[in-house]
Amino acid sequence: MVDRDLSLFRSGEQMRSRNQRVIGGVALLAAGALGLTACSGSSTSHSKGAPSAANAYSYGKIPAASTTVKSGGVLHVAEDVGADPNWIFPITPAANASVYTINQFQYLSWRTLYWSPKGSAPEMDYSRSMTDAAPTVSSDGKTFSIKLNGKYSWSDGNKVSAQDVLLWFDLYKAAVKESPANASNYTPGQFPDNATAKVVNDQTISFTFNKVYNPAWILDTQLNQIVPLPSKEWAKAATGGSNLDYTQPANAKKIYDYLAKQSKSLSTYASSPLWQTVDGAYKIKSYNTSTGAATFAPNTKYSGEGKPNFSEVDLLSYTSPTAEFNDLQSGKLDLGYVSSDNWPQLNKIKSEDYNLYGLPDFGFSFMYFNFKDATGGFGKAISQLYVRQAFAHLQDENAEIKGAYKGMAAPAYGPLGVAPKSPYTPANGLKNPFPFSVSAAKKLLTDHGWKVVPNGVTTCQNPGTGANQCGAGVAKGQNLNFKMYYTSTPKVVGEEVTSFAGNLKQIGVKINLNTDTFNNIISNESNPSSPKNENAWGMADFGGFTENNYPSTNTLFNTGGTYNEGSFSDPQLDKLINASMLSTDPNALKNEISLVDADLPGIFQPNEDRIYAWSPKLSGSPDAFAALTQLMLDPEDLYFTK
Amino acid sequence: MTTAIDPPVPAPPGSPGADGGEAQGANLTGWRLTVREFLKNRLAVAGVGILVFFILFAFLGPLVYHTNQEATNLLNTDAAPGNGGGPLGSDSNGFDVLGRLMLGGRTSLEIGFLAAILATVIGTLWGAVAGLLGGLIDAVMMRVVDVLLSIPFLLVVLIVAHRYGSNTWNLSIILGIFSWLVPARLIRGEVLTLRVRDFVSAARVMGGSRSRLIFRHLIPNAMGTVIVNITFQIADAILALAALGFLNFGVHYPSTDWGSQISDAQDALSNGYWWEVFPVGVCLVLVVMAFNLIGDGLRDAVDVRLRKR
Amino acid sequence: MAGYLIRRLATAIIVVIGITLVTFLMLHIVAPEPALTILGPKATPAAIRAFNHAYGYDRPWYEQFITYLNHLLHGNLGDSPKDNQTVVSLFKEKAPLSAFLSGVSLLVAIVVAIPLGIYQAVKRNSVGDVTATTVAFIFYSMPVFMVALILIQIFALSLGWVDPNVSQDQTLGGALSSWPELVLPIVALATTTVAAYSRYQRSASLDVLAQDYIKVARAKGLPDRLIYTRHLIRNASLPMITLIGLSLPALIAGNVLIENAFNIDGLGLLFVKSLQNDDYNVLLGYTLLTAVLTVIGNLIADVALTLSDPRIRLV
Repeated sequence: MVDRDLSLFRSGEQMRSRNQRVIGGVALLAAGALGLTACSGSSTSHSKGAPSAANAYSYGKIPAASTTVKSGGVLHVAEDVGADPNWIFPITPAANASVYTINQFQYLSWRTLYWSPKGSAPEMDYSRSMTDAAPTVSSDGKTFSIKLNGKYSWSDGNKVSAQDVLLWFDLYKAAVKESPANASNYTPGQFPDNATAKVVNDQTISFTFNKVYNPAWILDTQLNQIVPLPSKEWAKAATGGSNLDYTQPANAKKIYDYLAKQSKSLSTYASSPLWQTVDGAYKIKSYNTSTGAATFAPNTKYSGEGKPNFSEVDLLSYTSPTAEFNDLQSGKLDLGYVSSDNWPQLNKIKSEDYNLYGLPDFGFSFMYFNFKDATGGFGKAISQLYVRQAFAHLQDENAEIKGAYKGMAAPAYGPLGVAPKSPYTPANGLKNPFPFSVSAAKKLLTDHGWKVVPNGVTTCQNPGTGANQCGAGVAKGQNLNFKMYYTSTPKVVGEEVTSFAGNLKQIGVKINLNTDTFNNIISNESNPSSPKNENAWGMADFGGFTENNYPSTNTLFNTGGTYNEGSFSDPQLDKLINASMLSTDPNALKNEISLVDADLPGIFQPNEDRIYAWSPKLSGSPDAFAALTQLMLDPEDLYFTK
Repeated sequence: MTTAIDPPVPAPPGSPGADGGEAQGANLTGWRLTVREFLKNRLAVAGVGILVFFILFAFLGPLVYHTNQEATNLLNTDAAPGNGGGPLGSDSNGFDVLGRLMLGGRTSLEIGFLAAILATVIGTLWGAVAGLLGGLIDAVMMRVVDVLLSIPFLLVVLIVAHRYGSNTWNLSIILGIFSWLVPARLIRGEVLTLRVRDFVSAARVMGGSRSRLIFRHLIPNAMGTVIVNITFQIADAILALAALGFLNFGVHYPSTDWGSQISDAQDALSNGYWWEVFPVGVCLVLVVMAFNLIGDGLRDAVDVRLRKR
Repeated sequence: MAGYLIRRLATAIIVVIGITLVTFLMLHIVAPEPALTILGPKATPAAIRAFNHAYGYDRPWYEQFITYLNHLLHGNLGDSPKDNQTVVSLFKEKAPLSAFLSGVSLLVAIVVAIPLGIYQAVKRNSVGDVTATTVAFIFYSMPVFMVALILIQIFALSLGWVDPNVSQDQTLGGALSSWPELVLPIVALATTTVAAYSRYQRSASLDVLAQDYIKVARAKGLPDRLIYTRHLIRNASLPMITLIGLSLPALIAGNVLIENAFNIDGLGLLFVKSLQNDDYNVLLGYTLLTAVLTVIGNLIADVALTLSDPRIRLV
């Protein structure tokens, strides 16, 4: 079906792409209207490095790595439907960026300096990185020095050097100066705007930031973007040209323009010598401009973690998940994901001894409120925390997981769900603070002066700001009905939203439901993007966001944040969000997330398992299979068994 | 001039016979003749029967067969018929499929009727004006029709519905606005042949205003063509709506239409949920067939009337 | 004759320009701001301005239209930023498969429908005729995707003879190398076309059979087989030329639906994808392409009819 082909654009995978956060946080005075319910601050113990196969909310299991390694063989992997890679140069414009293009296409050839996740755990994996530890921070807290470990070298024999990091940094600067749309990860005011780089020696580079930030924020949201580029081969502005001094901004622009132009020439991906200089385990061998299918040959000079065991890696392109599923069944594919469309047929794959493993990727989905919606005074009503709590009580996560997800999802009560585990998950993110209960919802409303008419129209009878009254701005006789937009695909979104609507009806709230495409919702049902639509919607659901290792909700829920679609505003949260970025308190982020969970800027939904299936012939490091659920493809850690 | 490039679906109106010049009285018997002729056509009567059944099914069915089509039942999704689901099982939201068919049928019929009427009204006026005024205006108006006819209907409707669709009214308007072209051509043709007839000339001589001429004389006389065309228009609108729904651009919750119900058909089939696909398909085909049968019957009947006049 | 052709051609050109204007305006109204949807929600105002400037969306619509026309004359349909390609190269990649599907199914439809219609007319009201009429009527009332679903259920799922999806090697050559999977889509497309054509062919043949020259031939004692091959097929097939020219839009619409039902990576699927992405230039290009094909189809139908039937003199 057509909609199946559009996974990238419908469910928020694009929003769910990594390394994407924006600074917008403004420190404000705490108004104290909403209580801070952060946990005491005792950090939860985190089982470091345990392969996520042991995760409580996973589906299936990862077998232990086989010891009989057979070298050679062609690995057939499916590309994500609708996300055919079409940008090879590792500075990716917003229009072409997708987590698949970056993680499962570019990263095969050009690796990031800091490698994450570690298996499925959202943390740095130094065994696969080009450095052995977090950067050292200067005493004033502004300068971060990165020492490369010398483990990685280019296919031309040169070691990856500090100069290669600098080339990336200078080209990145040139790219975003030309147009902010030239780099999907770019946020004005952040990397590279907030830092200067200095090569200390061949293997050490330092970045000096314009002020003191939380070191975890620097590492996990700024430095993690670095993809060293081969400065000896790429620092030129024409095919066969001589190397230019890229530290000169004018030269950097010329180089960037040349490389971007080469990246627009899809037909020369396989033939251009540029793209053959790699530090990853595989390099491109052929590329189908029509479908985005590609084949990769091993980089025989690969010096990093793992080994290019396959004689070829084939990325196959599909127009529908069902077509892909059929190829998995027929054995044409060695490795591929199983979309929720095909879950009812999982047994067919199991019976062929295929291994299956699934876990949600790190991120969240939610239905968000529009606090500015003046239609029927909905924005004012929803600004009352107790109304949001009542709504939250009407989302039946257990039924959704059981019915819509056939059990293959993990619950989430905030931006950090219960799986995959993050060291920042607060206590109130592990147990549902608002379990499904129509009576609890009803009680919250009646206690605050509403006359609840099940299946009818619930109205405010007792306006005012007292403890038993409807609250500021809510008028007498006003109802809670509103208009909601959601993406028509994938089906589960509709199933969740209609289930929620049916539950709300039981307390006399009528939702006028409308579907739209992912693209339309993120642009129309968003007050920052479309202020003119402010009064046209009450809630919306486009999917959600994928998070990086430091999952601050900066830009999402801070007042005026770029993706604060519904204009949520809580001064206390603003303060905590700001602290997550600017204070050095290691608990800052956990406190922030805990308040988000209590604040309900939206209603958080279960996270669907990303399920992958692979042939019994295929084996390798359990971490590599676990990382698939986080949308990473690490063929250097995989091999066929004898 | 261009040759007639009407799509083959509505057969060109029967060539009017010799000019009888009857006025209203004669027309009455003409209509009675049409009805009698129509009733003789068993297939057409069967079409009426199917249609009446589906109208009752869609509009009165929910009064008899109560189902909840608003609250989903996520614990009973994709249930097979009789097996926890209703007589026709449940769909991926846990909605009862039989109840869903009624709801979807209602929307499909409503949109079909509304779109056809809108198209016919616009088309009739456009065609009548062009045919009556003739000359340069006619040429310009018909070139506009040519241009619009060349733009592929489904593509245009998809583009507009993608942005503005998703409820009954909008979809009716979108489908209506883009399908008035064929009726416009038919009516113009009809008007051109009627224009030369005596009673129109007589009305003109007597100083009848243009609009009076259109509404009192020409349109009633072109009624046969219009009615035949309307039935085909409805069938086409229902088919077009089904295509939109199939591609996921149909009406949305809490409403649904038959096309939207099979938007995930391929997955449903490969998962073995045939009851989510084929009952809807059967309804769709039967209703469209009913309108085509009625349309064929009406056309024959109108032809007879014209021939016998 | 030459005068007629020239005038007919001139009309066609005016219609094409009109189509361009209407399509352009319509898309302009419907999708006025592609930047936001292409760049995504992360796009900063500066990025959107840069994008709009780069693609000229910040200029008044008539200027954009003139630029578009100018590019059009140079065979440039614009870029698809999302696909990192020009629209023309996208079309070139996807067209062969779509054209193959349409072409083969059209051919199949003609080869089946003409003899079928003639047979029905000759054996009017026989069991065969009634059966064929009924079946044609049912398929005529059936959306093409419904035919596809039935075929998938029977031949792919129940019998397991073919894969329900066309080979995912989406080049024409690749698709042909696993041709059995192309059979269902072609049959689905052809079936609905046959249903429409055979109805038409039957009534056209009936008209011809009622003509005097057939009666004369019969009276002269010419054997039926000769009558049919000499007179009936030739004369009754004339209207089919028009019909084929006119059925281009239906074939294209069928492609959109069939390519979706069978997951064929052709132009139809591209169109629906671009719709989801608001890929302005692809939508415009494809609508225009099909509109122009339609005009050409009409033109060919008219001219062919005029040339082949000396009785038709339109000027």
